[in-house]
Amino acid sequence: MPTSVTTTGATTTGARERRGAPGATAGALVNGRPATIELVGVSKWYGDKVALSDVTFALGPGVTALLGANGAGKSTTLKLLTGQLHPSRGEVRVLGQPVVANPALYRQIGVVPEQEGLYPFLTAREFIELSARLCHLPDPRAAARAALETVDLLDVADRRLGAYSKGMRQRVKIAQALVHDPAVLFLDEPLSGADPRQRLAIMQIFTALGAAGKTVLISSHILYEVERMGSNVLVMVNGKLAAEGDYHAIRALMDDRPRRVRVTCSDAQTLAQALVVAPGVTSVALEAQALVVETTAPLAFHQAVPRAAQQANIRLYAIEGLDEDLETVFRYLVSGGQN
Amino acid sequence: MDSMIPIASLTVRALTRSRRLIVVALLLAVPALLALVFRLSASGATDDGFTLQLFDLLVLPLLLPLTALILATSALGGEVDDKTLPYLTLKPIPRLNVVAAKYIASALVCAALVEVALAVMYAVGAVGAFEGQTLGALLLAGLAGCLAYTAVFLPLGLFLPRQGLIVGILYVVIWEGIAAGISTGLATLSVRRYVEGTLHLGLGTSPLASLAPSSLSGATSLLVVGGIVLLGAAVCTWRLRTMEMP
Repeated sequence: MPTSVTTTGATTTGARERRGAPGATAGALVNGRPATIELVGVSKWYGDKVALSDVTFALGPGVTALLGANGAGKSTTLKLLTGQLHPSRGEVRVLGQPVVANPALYRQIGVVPEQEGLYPFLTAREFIELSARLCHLPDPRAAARAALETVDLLDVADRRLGAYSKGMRQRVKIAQALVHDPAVLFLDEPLSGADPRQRLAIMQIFTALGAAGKTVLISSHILYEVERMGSNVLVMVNGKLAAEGDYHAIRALMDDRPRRVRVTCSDAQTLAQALVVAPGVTSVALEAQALVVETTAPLAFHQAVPRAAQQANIRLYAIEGLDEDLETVFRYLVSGGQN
Repeated sequence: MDSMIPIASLTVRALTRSRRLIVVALLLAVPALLALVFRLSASGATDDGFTLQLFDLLVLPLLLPLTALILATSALGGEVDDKTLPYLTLKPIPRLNVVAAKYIASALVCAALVEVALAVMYAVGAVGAFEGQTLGALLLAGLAGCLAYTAVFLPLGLFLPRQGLIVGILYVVIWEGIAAGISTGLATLSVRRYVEGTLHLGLGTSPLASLAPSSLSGATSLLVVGGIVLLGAAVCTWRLRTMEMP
């Protein structure tokens, strides 16, 4: 689902590839509703080192992936959003409220921190109950039980955290973030250390939370997993926001890069001869039962293919985009459009 | 207020499971051992003045502040070092409550250990000359010392989570131990002086009061100890509100 960001007086629908353009201002709307997460002109620096530079975005409910290479500014962004860091410049708002020096807001925020630290002498149940108590829940035991059940740790809930594997500790961290049923969740690499089965289960939890109207912002570098949780992304490159929105729409904006399309048909050689003169086609490569075409005019190409096939009496079996995935988009943005 | 109990309970569990507790226990065993040596060497002398001098010369300037230092710097500094502090600060609790719970837990553990050590020291050193008032004075001063030094060292864990212990030891040895012992002027700026005042208050008209002289009234000493506690809590809360967690 494409993101629609309304700033004061202007609406942009779909993805935006950042080229230093001004973004949302305070009080932004997302899909016609007030943004739940908002960064306005936020910079963070430590002496001469700039960790984040003039980042502006607004998000609404749903799952959004925060992508970027190591040192791109993902963790800094999450720490600013959770009040663990204070912006050097700009404004950070969650649910319309400032984050810094506003502890009451944490009743509506769940955080899975990046760091490994847990209390090794506590059992998982004690730890989650502690979180529930600190969130002033009326029945901390029941809430802790539900959260542990959600992350599939109920059977081992009375084991000390010091004896937990990395994947189990990660799930405990998720449980403490979920225990108070927050409206907004910030998750820094929540899947790290989890085995494939656990990863799938955790991804399903996040997807369900997004579908239930929660705002879920997940920092991750595992793109195929992010792809499975949703298509809304924020891409950080060198402390700047390189792109935001639906990554399919971002791909559509990458008009300086040809699309690769594989066409599987009954006579690839004849179809290749017909398509090589089609508008926007820059190269055609033959495979066994298919041809791979690079085109700078995908819309015209997709109209030309069935026409050419019909004229040559060729049967089409499949037409598939080869670089429509998140990884292609991410690599393109991280390389600054050079690859 | 209801959030303070779980944090204080967590802190007590953390402190009592820490390896630091072994160091503290060894330190606090020293006065009782010295009292025992005194008893054995004095061949049955019944003088509880020795325990007062032991308190004034060893426990108060060195062992008590070191105990408070080891425990208090661990209470919040340990959370920073172990990267567990976000589990407390990213919750809907005023920072003051976090600090108050941490302070109460640290002071409680410190006082429990110090008071037991003082009672044992007195029991061993003053056999046959047991004086309830002297023991009461020692316990009062021990409690006052725990409360004041914990308040001094709790913020240190936030400002210098890793180096806090070293800085604190230097402060204890140089300032509380040496400087405050050689100059009355410098002593005014030490915690030690006010704890001595509470000892004097506890001794009252006891003949042993001359062994622990103090130019301060008991009320002034208690007032200053209370002020140190409030100031320490205020500094700690301010630090917790403004610090970043990189």
